[in-house]
Amino acid sequence: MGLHTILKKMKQKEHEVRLLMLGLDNAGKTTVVKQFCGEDISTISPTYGFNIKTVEHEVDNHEYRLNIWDVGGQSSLRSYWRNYFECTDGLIWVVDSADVDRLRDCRQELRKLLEEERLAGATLLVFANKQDLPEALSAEQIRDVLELNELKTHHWYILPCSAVTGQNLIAGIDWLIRDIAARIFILE
Amino acid sequence: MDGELAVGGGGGGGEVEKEKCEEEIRNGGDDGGGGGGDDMGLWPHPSPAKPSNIYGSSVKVRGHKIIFKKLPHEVKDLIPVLELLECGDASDDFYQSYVLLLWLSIIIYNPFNMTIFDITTTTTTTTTTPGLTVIERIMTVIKTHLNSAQKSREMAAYLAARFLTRPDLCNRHLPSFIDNCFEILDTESQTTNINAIYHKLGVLRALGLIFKHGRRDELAGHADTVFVRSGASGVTSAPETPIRKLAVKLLQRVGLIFLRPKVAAWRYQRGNRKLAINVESGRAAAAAEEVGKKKKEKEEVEVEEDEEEEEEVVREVEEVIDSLLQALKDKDTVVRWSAAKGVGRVTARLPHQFGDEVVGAILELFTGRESDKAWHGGCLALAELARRGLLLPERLSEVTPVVEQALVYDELRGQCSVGANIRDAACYLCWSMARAYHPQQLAPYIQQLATGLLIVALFDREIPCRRAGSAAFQEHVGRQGTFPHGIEIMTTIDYFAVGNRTNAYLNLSVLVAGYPEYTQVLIDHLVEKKVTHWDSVIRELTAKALYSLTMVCPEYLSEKVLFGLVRDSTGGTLAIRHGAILSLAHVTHALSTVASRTHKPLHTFINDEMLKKILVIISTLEERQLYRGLGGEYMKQASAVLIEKISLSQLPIDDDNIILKVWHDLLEECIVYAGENIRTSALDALASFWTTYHQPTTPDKVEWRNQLIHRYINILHTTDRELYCLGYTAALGCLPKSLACGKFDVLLPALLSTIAIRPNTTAWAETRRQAINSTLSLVTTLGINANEKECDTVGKDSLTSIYSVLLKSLDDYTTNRRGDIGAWVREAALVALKSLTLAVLKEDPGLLSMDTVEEMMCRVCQQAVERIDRTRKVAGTTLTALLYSSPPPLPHIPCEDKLKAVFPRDTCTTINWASEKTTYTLFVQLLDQPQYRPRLLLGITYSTGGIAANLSRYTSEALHTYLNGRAEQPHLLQSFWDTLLSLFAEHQKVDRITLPLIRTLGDLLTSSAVLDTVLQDNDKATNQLITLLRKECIKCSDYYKLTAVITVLCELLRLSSPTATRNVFTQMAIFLGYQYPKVRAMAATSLLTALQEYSEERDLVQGGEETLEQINTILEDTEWMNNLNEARTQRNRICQLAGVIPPQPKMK
Repeated sequence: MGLHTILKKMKQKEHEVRLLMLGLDNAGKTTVVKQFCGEDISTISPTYGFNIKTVEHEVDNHEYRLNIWDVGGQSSLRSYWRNYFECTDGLIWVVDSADVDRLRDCRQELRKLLEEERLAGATLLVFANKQDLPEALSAEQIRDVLELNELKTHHWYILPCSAVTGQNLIAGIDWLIRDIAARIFILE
Repeated sequence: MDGELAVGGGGGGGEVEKEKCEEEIRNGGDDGGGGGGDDMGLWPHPSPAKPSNIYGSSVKVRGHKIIFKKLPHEVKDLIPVLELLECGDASDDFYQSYVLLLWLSIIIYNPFNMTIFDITTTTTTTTTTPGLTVIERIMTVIKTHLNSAQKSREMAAYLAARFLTRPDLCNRHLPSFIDNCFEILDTESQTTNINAIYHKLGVLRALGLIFKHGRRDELAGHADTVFVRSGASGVTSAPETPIRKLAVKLLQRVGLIFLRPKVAAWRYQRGNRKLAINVESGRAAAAAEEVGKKKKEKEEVEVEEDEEEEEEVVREVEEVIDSLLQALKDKDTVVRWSAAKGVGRVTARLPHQFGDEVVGAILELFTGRESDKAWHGGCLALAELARRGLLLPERLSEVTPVVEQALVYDELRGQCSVGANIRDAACYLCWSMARAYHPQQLAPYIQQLATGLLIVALFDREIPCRRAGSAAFQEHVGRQGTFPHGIEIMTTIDYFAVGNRTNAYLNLSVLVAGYPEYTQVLIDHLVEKKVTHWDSVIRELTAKALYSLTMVCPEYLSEKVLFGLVRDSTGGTLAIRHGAILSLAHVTHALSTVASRTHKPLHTFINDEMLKKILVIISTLEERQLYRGLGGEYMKQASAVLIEKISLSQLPIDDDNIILKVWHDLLEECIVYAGENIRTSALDALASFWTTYHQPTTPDKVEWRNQLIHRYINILHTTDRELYCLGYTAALGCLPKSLACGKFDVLLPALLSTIAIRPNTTAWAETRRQAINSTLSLVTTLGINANEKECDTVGKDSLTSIYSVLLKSLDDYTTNRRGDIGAWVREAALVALKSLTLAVLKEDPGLLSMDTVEEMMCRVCQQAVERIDRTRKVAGTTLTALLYSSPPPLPHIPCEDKLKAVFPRDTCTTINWASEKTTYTLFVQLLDQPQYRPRLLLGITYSTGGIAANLSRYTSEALHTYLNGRAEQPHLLQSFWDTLLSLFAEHQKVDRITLPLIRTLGDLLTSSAVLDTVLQDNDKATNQLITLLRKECIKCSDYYKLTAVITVLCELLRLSSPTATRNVFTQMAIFLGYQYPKVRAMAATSLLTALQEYSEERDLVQGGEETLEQINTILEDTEWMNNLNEARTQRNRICQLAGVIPPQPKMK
């Protein structure tokens, strides 16, 4: 009955889901997480390293416990992708829709990430963030730039959203949880 | 992840199957029950077995609770299912009754009146026990299955719980059921029958589940009885683990019945977060207000509940908790784990004061008096409490020291160690704490927790513990963010990095120790717990880790640690001494390195008094006779390391001859020891020891050196024990330049004579290998120089003799029961040839004579085509190095162009030299070259005629390809044949070579006609071969060799002229009358086949068809295996028919 077994059982029993929040720096990852946790979003500084936050969320009459790993855009990621005890169930890729110059970088980083074998099978949710800014591209445009239609290895979904106003955040999480639950909490 | 995906596959299919299954089970049920008695004969058709299996598997994967909800729950299914259960033989299918019971549990969960059935069904069911109500029938089914040894027992218990807690049955049937259960528990305890245990398990589980699922108010009346009677039945102290576990479960649930279900108001909460509420409230831009409101609400709730805390806790609850605390110390993990969860559940309903007392009671488990089991149970219970918020922040000051101790709990009990589970559970506790508390609450304990977890992650002996430590550390960094340098360290000690223990000890520890907060605590931990650890591997790793850590902070080691290490070096137990000496050795070395790097005098780190103590350690151990016995091995090894490190540190000894002599004697004792690790440590030590303390600077020392070498050489020549010869040979190889210089002219002949096989040392292959290595290392130490004296450096004459001995040692095919141990020598010689040649080339290529190079190249090629993969690989690498030595190139390579054409540089670097598939096709091409041909053929025939199927297949393929390619060049084929025969002649009667060679000949002759041109009507060649074969068979008793010879002889019938044929017959006649029956039979069969096959082409026997027919008949009809005299008579008849003189038995 080591830590490993305990955590595995707990995950099944308490419907724990591990989500990894990634994206280029200044995409708004931490703002999204703070919105989820109901924390003050007026002052946010760049994330150095990572934060783990736990929130509960109800989808289709099931209570889920989301462990969200908010990893800084600049930090070295490998250590966070997986530890022995918990594997990543879902990826939330946050895009700064207004930062047109770096969308190409964004595409490359995402592609590199999805090739990582430790993330194989994880569900991908793309938040086209900062829709509250006038110069923001639409979700469709972002989808085309990121070439999501060519993505065959992961289940994916893209949504326009705004971390500041909270637009579409819940809709996105609902989709993500449903997709993950269909995979790991079968028959429930 | 994998597991989950697999579940996905099964579950996905299950959904589709589900409908079908239900349908099938229903049909089965209808046929069996609804149709009445006449259909029973047809049952099972369609059988419910298959769908049951599918459901059973689904339950196995997803658990019955989830499948339970998926089963159809219609009242109309009740009777069919029940009847299936009643008539089915419980043992006929493993899953059937299990699944049916599960199904029944959901059907009876429907709210309907059970008694209705009794009116409607009595008319239809005539076959099954008339007169009983449905309720009674269900109870019977339950009771039958509760006594089952199969898994259906568990489901019967589940059904019982669901059934008896129905509101309409609770009052009437529950009391009698409970009564019945305890009767069973009481009576079955009297017997030792194995089924009694199953029955007890069944009823205990049923009781437990009843108290889990039932309503508190309805069960409250029974709780007292159950509590008292279960105590009286003694199940909590039963010898069977599962019974104790179920008893603990029952107890905790009874305890919960006594307590009002509520969430403990006093529990510590770190904010209740709901994603939806948070985001919605954020959108309303009134987050702050909302939070404030919520807080207020919460406070109100708390106030309300505070008022309720007047509630009395009944005496039974105290007893339940007491039993649970006892169960935390149980000897089995499952029971402790169950108890821990029970403690958590019960405590959640207790009032503040009482709950905190429970925490206090758990903390009392962590004392030296309690067993390791108690520690483990205690950790689990604390972690459960922390997870539920029942471990209040005020208690953290008491919990943290306990955690610190539990994280390093490691004790040796007899032959095994205990504590790994405790350390793991302590990690679980830390992990829960990271999730439970606010950073502010944990702030005072951060340092302890961080270092505790780091120590586990870096220095634990077990991999699961290191990983658990790393995971808990990660959880703290991510959730608390308060660990100093958390993120940097987290990326250093991640899950994968800590997997390898050596890496964790030697590399990661240094990186982490680079952060000043952790340096000293890491060192302290190693010194306190790991230097004297019970596992010697850990002690060695610790010593090495301390070397690196000393570099990080030398002052601390020198001031605080060194003294203790010196003291323990002569301490009480073996582990302490061994560990302390090893660590002392490494720390001393590190300190001296730091001193010389920083240009400080050594005594700033190691003061004179300490130095003296270090130097006398070995003498003290010697006086106390601690180098004897089994423990002595550890002491010897550690002491050798100590001497080595002292020598490397160049500690001043002031020419104290007594110490030096003691050390030297000890090392000499170690180099001839049987344990290899002791020998290697001692040899390493000897090299540095001589270098530092025995430089021949004074006449005395020179004399000492001369005597030393003289003595060693003398041992080499005189000893009759291989270990001595091996040890001293190795020691000579370790001589530093200053000591060997001037003595090489004596050393070399001694070593070379050890390489040679002497009559009384034939089996000493290991020594010969060592001698080759020692020679090579001496050559490297002294350097090659043709112009200096032969006693100082390696000159031309020395080289000549070294080369000749090395090349000779490639003929070392010593075997013992381990097989071809000569291969060690050959491989060592190949490596030595390579290194030596490259060294000579650098110095002066002119030192290499043409003959030497030619022989070397041919012999290396021979080794590259022999039997052992590993040897071929070494030879291949050597060949590459010699062929493409750069610069200068090796002169005098025979047929260099051809060689380079066959083995271009690219091929040499990419080819797998050990693979028989690729290398042989290349090497056979060299058979064209007369220089290489003999050696290569020697090697190739050795492989082809071997018993390894794959090897002989590829080599023989390569040979055939070669020969077929030369079909138009008879002179090459002729030379090929001549070489084979001359090899045969040369090695006549050497079984190792001739047997494979004859086999190869047989293979070449039977499966290819390419050599026919050489043999056709060439009496000389054939007769020469027959002569050789005959000589080989004289006094031969090897069946395999005789078989091979017979094959070749019969093949010769195909080719040879009449004279040669007669010779063959003569020889075969001997075999037909051979003293071994098997040989006679073999000869007869082979001859018969050959005669039938080849007589069509020409007349093999004078007298034509008729004679041949007669011979064939004799060969066929005689029982060759039976009687020797009979066989010889028949043989003589054949001889007469064939016209050869029958062999005469020798007159004795």
